[in-house]
Amino acid sequence: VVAIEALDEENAADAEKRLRRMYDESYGRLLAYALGYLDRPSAEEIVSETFLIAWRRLADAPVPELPWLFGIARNLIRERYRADRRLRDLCVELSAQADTGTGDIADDVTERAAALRALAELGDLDRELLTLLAWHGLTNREAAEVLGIRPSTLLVRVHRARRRLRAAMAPTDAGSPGRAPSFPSLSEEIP
Amino acid sequence: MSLRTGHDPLAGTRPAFLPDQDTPIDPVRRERDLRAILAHPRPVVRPAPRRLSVASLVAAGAVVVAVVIGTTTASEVPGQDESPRAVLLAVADATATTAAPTPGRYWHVRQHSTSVEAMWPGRDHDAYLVVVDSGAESWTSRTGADRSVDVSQLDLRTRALTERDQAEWDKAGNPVGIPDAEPTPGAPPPPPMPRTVPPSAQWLAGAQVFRIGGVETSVAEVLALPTDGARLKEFLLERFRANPPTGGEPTEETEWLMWEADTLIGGRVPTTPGTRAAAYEMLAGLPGFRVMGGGEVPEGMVGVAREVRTGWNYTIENALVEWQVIIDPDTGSLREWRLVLVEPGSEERRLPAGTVIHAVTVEQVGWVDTDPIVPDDADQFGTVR
Repeated sequence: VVAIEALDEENAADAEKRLRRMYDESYGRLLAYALGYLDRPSAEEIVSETFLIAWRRLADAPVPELPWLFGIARNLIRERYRADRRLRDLCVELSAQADTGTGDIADDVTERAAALRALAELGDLDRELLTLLAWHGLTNREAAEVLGIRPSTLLVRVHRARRRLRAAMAPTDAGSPGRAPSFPSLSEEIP
Repeated sequence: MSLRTGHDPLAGTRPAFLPDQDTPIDPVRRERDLRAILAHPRPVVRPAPRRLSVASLVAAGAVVVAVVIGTTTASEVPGQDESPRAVLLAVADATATTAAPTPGRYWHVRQHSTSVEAMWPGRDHDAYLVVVDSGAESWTSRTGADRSVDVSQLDLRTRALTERDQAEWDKAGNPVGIPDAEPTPGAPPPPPMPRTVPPSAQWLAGAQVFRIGGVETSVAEVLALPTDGARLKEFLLERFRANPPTGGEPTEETEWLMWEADTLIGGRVPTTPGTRAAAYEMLAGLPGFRVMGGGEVPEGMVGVAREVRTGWNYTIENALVEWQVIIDPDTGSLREWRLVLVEPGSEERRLPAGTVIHAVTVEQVGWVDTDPIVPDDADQFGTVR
């Protein structure tokens, strides 16, 4: 009995150490991710809950843990909030800010504004995918894990989402940025 | 119209208000969070899960029996947006957006190979099959100012494929490696093969060339190869028509293009990301590919495969094999290349479908400025130090 108790104590210490490490390494990135969809108090709440769930499921946590943690946070956000609209609104707001920005190079500012405007016009899944990579620094492999899809599927979706983004950024005959072409609803592709 | 998307237009659009990884965590919040979480019952901790990769199976010389083809589960079935063409074009795009490294002194490659080899009958034993594993490492001088070196037979190991082969291999004295040549009927038997084989290092002086499309091609020419799929195909086919294959390469045009694409993406040649992307685009235009299922490739990797009928230049003749390439989705780099038996050939009917006949795992590849490292026990040949 003494031996088992000693082992349990060791496991408990290891588990707590792992949780603290995960928290310190991942808190900022998870908060940034949640802030794309939620106001700050809600985002902080989601991140806290993400780590609580991670603690309860620590036995199943893969290494590295980051994509797994993103996946937990993503599920919580999708279950509790209709957050896709906020990300789209954020892109619209950011593009307006970029339009009036004071970048060192005017072309860069214009392209950033056009990219953000185009991002706002894409489907929710395209927008989520592209921001996971461009804003949150996930690799293709990590993003596939977060979204629960095969890496080959992820690559194809990224390729197509970027083409749609480019198409939406292309100037129309009237000289203004074009709209994203009409594509089948991507929401039907959610596994 | 280009199939590529170019640089990411979202670079530089990350909102400034989003914290980054280095933003300090509010200590009050951290303390409160951790205290609340740790107040919950602690989890039962099991040992960290060990992921068994397909690569490790291949490295172990495993025979994958009848599980390689058509093993995708319902959740792993490629969707409608995952045609082989779509996947290869997406891989090309991911490859093209990888930053091209600055060329250094040497193009350095380290890889590991596994192959099933058929051994001829001898005086004391029947024919048998072995699995031969070995590593190889090469440093190719970019300018020719440095000596290049190819190191092979690193940690060379041999084992019998089946119990039946074990018995014959034992009778033969458990030799390792591959014989130099087929024994000639009536001629004296060749000397017995050794039981241990040291690494071999071949030193080469001067400018080095690679054989691309049947033509010797310098490093500078490799770096200037086409970066567009259609132009690359046209470039290779011009060489194909001018220099019909005679040295063991496939003679059928599509298979020959696959063969050449493998050379360009496989790491042995210092191609730029643009040329590798072009090679994937070229493959995307070839018929007969399938996307490999999740259970067939190492976790996180992408795989495509195409069936090929083997000729005299393969270990197993007149068999139907599957040419499989495993690609890293982050860089488009080729991680593994395999030939897997689909239907046994005329000579070796007893080999089960699913046997990995030949596999190469790319462990390290890129430009380096450091000197080559040759094992002390290597037999060294070529230009004197």
